[in-house]
Amino acid sequence: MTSSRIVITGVEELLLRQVSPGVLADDGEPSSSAFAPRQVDQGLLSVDRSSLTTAADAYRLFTAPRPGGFGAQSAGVWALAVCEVNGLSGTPLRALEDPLAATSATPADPAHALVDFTPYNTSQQKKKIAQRLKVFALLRGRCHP
Amino acid sequence: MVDVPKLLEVNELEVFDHERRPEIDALWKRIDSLADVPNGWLDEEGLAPSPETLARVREVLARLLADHHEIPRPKVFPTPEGGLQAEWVFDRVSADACFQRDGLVVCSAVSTEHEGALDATFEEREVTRFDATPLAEWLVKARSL
Repeated sequence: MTSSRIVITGVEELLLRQVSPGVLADDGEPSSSAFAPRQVDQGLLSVDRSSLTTAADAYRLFTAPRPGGFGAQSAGVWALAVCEVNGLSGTPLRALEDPLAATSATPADPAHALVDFTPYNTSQQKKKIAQRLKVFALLRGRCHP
Repeated sequence: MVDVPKLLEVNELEVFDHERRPEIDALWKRIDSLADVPNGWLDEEGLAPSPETLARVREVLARLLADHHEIPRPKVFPTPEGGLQAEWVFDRVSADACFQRDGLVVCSAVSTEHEGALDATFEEREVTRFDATPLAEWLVKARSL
């Protein structure tokens, strides 16, 4: 359910995206697929809010072993501005608040947020959005490390 | 107009002194490295690229670079479905060509400047080791999207 989540409106705020090593080219450029949710994500792309964390802290939390971190792999952090996501080219794409509470296995992540791809039904629609997001992320460059 | 036969077969590029030889070598090195991608490469998801797909992409992209000097070397990534995706970014345009396991090449280009998109799908017989012109022509159109 995404309808009850609050839309992030600070247009200058950055959304920090962890990129898996598997979708990085040999020169360090991420694939467009790094900016689309995978099947397990149910149409929601995980990001962190720059108003509540930094790229370095988000990277540390994402990659640190559980339960202090999420124990996941990241090749680095790329960023999208909220204004690049919300209403991209007239689309219903939105960034939503999604703070995570701590569990027995993982820490809290109050900066966690989502980019909502659920209005799109086909993988081709999602792919086109991801391609656009990649261009924005590349123009900004890798934020960390 | 006299038909000029192609001077180089893809395999011959390894021995001839083609002016784009360093780019093609770098491209092949990247594609060869993707032969080591295992099943489950994307956080437990993701099929390994098939040997047939790796060989086909190696040959088609080499032909593309050798015959079409205006086309830069793409970034190449594995796809979760076991194919390979070649990606180009031309300023504000993102152009992807997905080489699927079934032989189809599914192409998608978008711009961050407007909602327009340029799509194309090529059959296996249309884009080959001997002639990648349809893909080159699509990329030229995509570049000015």
